[in-house]
Amino acid sequence: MRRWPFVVWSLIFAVVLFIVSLYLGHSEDRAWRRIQSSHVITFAVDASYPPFEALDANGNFIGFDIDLAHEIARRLGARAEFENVAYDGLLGALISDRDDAAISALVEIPERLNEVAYTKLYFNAGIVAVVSRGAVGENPNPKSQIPGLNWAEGKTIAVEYGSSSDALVRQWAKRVTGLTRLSSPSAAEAMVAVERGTAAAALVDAVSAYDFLLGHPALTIAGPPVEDELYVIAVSRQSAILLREINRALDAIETDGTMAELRVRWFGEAAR
Amino acid sequence: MRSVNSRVTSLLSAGRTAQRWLFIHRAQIVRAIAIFVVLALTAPPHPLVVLGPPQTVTTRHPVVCAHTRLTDEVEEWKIQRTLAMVREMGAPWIVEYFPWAYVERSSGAFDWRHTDQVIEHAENQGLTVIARLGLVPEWARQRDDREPTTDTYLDEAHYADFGDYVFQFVRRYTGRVHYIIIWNEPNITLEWGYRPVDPAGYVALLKIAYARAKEADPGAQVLAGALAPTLEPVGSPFGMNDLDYLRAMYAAGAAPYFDSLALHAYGLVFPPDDPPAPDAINFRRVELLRAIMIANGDGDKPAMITESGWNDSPRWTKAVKPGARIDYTIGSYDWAETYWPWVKAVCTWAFRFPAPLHSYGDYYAFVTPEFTERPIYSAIKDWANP
Repeated sequence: MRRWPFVVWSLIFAVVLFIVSLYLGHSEDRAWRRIQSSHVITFAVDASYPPFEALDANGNFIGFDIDLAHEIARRLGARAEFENVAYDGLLGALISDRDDAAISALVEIPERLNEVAYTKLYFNAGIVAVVSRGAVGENPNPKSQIPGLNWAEGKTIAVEYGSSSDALVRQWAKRVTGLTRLSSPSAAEAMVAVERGTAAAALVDAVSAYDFLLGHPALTIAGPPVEDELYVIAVSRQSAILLREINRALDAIETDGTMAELRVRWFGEAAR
Repeated sequence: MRSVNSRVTSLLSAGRTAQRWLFIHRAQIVRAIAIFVVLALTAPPHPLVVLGPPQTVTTRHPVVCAHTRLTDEVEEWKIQRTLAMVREMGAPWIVEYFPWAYVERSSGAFDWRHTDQVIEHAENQGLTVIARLGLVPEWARQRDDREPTTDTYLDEAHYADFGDYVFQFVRRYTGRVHYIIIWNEPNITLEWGYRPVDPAGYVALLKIAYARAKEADPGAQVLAGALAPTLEPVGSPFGMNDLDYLRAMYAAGAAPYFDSLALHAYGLVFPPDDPPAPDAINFRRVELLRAIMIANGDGDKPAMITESGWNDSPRWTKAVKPGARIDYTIGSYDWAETYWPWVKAVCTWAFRFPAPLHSYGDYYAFVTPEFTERPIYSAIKDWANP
């Protein structure tokens, strides 16, 4: 009988704690409060990596990330502004509360999760396999043809000499019989080897592939990336509301086809 | 009295509650203990590391050297594997950093465990170690005004403490480590405790370090300089042009206090044969530093390139394509062997990092943290091995 008051008081205390923590959590999201009052969201950007981000001749920020940031801001009822920050300082700009978010072809750094939070991925710039359309047959969705170790057996694969793809194929060659690695001076020349039929596939980074495929309709990308490089947006770890809102915006941008439009605008049809 | 009684009653009641809770949950408790025991017994053991028979480096190009980065590598098998891979690549030299702050965490108390491990494994692989000494422990960088300092801050009052570390290091590894570098890039404020750089101050430090090194082992070779290649103009808050700094070192009387000059020779976007110029940072910039040595009567002294290399990050504006990086790196060894008889080693930054940096710096590495060989590693191995 005497235990009831204790249980009741404990419950009340827990509810109060929960409400206070919710209040504190929200009130600590200074970035969100700033955006709400100024209707401006400031992005830290290292504008040295076209076509994701760069400065045009007039000093304006341009690129895929820039357009995406404008779109996110619009959906958050705000205007995007940009600050040019060196790559190694992007997360610092969030931690010091100087900028609200960082968008700059960023990959997640797990060691920094105690300071920043990352949105869902919005772009995969990893290594893809470029093959001739003939090789994937009449399959309307060549992306279902997954290249991998079994697929590579007995094939010649072209790579850019010294690149991550080169390192990957050297690893494959140790485990697959009959795989021949064809070194090319550049990613474009590796894809030319496929076009000429001297290689069954070229393993290159997605952005180089998209760029090359613009003028080479006989080639296509087979399967999903064989190695991922996932780009995300970063916010301060205190910015729980902003993180949620950017994720919602990214979902909407993906769902209504805007993301595909942006990809096509900056990387061509192959990136759709 | 009543209050004491009620407290005792409460305590007894709490004890009974706890007893009841333990009894009711005894099955879960036993299960939890069992899981813990099973996990503890089935946990993978630490890899057993044995030295193995002493190795020797076989190479056609003895100038090849790797700047390893074992300072923060805590697993012994990884230290061993890294050094074995350096040997297999055909590099007879390594540069490794032995931070004072890690070894002498409190004044006079030296912990050599990690340092011993690195030296022992390097020696076992037949590698010659060039030891870079620096990084100030907290106890040696307290300011009188209690202002915060960085780990590269050392005021003159503590130069003798650094001298003691140099003495202890050289004495401990006499006959095993013959080369030590005193400090790193003192011509940039970042490496000089965020103070205005001070060539005369560095020479004062060098003088003490040199004397203590020779006191411990008269055969020890002291390397000075290791200047950052930079074009910083006079009065820059970030540092001093390396050419001006070396001239100022000589003016401050540095010549008798080093046996060899440590040079940093980064190529950035230029090939290794790109001609030197005072307003350009490239691999051959070290020829300008060499000219200053000769002008100051130090033409007989050798030099070591203790940092060098090209970067192939796709997103750094001062990087090159991966294939160019391979060609330029091998070209730099070739250049030094052909044209620079005064250079004993070209040490390329950096062989492997213990963990990814998640930045352009990762693209200096020859092998990944997981020991996957990058193509540059294989290319140098093919080139250097007979």
